[in-house]
Amino acid sequence: MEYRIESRDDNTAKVVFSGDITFSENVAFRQLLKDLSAKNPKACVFDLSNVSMVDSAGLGMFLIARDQAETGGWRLSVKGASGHVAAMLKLTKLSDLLEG
Amino acid sequence: MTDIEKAGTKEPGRAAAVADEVSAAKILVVDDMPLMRAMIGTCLKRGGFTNISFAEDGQEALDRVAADMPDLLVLDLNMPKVSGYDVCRALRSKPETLALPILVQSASETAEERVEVFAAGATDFVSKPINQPELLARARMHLENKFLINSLSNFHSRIQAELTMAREMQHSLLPAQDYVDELERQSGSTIEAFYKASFELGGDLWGCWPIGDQKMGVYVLDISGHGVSAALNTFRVHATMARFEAYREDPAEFLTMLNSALQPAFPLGQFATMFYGVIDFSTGDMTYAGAGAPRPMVLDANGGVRLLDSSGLPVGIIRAPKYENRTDRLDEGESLFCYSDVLTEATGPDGDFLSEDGFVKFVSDCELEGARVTLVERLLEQFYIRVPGALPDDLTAVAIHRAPDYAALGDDTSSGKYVFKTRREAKKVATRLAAISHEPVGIAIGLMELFVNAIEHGCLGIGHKEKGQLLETGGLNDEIHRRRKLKEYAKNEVVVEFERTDSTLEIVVRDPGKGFLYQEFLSDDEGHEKKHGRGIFMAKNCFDELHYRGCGNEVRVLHRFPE
Repeated sequence: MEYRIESRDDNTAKVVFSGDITFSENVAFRQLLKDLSAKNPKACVFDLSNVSMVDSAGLGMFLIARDQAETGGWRLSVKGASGHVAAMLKLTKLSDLLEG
Repeated sequence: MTDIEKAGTKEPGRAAAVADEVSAAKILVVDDMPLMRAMIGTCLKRGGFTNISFAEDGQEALDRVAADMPDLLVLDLNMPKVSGYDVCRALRSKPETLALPILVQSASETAEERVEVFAAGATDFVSKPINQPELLARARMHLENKFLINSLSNFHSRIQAELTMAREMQHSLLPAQDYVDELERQSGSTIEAFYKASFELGGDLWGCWPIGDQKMGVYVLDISGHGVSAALNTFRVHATMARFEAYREDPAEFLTMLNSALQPAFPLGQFATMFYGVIDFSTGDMTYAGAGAPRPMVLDANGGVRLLDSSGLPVGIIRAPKYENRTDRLDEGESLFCYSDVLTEATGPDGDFLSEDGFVKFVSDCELEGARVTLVERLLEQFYIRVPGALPDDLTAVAIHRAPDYAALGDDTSSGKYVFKTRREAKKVATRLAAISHEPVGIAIGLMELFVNAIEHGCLGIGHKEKGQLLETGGLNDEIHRRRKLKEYAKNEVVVEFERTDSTLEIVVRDPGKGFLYQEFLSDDEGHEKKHGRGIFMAKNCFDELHYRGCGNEVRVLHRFPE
């Protein structure tokens, strides 16, 4: 997994992911959440269009991000999922929680 | 757990414990000059070391090491007979002294000499004349390293042992074989279940139970993530499920109750994907609810696959998810197949993973290759060929095969003949003949092994080695379809003739192929090791007699009815 944080002038942020988001990305993902809370955006979009695979641990990381957003008072949404990633979000109905 | 706590409380005193171990360490000083031995000995004693012994030359040093292993060697290089270099090399050539710290003392300081000393196996170097603080500092450092490494590797092997034990305990959560046997008998089905924990601990679990006389409940679940916390949670979930026995008949309600009990206890970001289904064997009705588990498959009698909608929020995320009951059917001759996501997500040598579509095709292809009740066994065998090595996650695969209605399918004539070209037709013939035998399940397995051989090898000329390669790349079915269209194979057929008496069922299978050297496949002693002959070996165990004839393109089997 690789990611790039794009900050915008209106204090929103976009995180563009690429590669696979799996259990082994645990540490990198936690670092990302630290970086995000340092920026303290009012809204953030996770762009998953370049992600080819996500496993259950990866979905768990999105839930942690969602919880951090709720605590920090910012809005998190997930966009651009396709293929296996979209199927996983749909199967676990996490799309309702994360894409809404 | 208590062991881990003990290790935890030990930590603060660790430095002092190492210091004690260091000063009591056994040090062997090797030097041919008495003055040098005395000087080094005094120096070490002043530094607080209490357990010092001496050797006068290289040979004595090796003898002493062999008799009583020291913790550190302080070694002179230039000695008569066996030199310091020889001592180093001798010690490093034996596994028990491979890691013994060797501190070499020498007057000469050339770069070449240092290289040679290290190449011979010395751990470190002290210069001559001996400088007391330097000698003590180096001796302490190497002893501390040695003791810390020892304690670390002890810790490591203990953790390994505990993980192994934890994996075994996790295994004990799965249904016991006699319990499964009883359920099979009650439900008139065959239950095929495989579970393999990954090298790390994982969080898969499956189970089944009878509900009344006619129903059976079956679940598969996968706790997100890996490692100890996921594994511990399987115990939590297993124990919690036992509390909701009263809700077992209603899958959605069962998941709702389970979620309400588990959700407050689950750590953030961890959850369980799950499927729970209840099958009524008297009517074929199936009711199920999903919590995001991989979509189970129902394979109909003709090998057609339909996917069940197991979508739903995984257990443990929000307080009150809405689970829905959905209905489907599991008729006679159909199979329900549940599996964990490692089968769709593990990557092969080419870096690709199967994904759901690919896996459905994989299952359909495997279905054709043998009797239905061996589907999961054959499927996993082929899966491991395509995805070799250790899997990144637990593997669970559970199938419930409802027996076909043999009474309605059986061939009621006393003799007859079948002719077929495809594996699908072969399956029907196998079922009809199995139905008139005394052991339909076993006879169907044996006949399918012989029929598949007759089609692939006999009619289509696919060799054993070639088939192995095709299985590795996943190209077997395409190759079968390709050959069937070629002129040289298009007309080839398998001919099956049977004759039934009051006491026996005799079946002869004939193909137009070149046959094979069957004698070497049939020797009992090596049967299992000869991979190519595995199918034949299996078939042999299914019948009372099995004989190849001619060039090996004809096989006759005999099944005896019990008196």
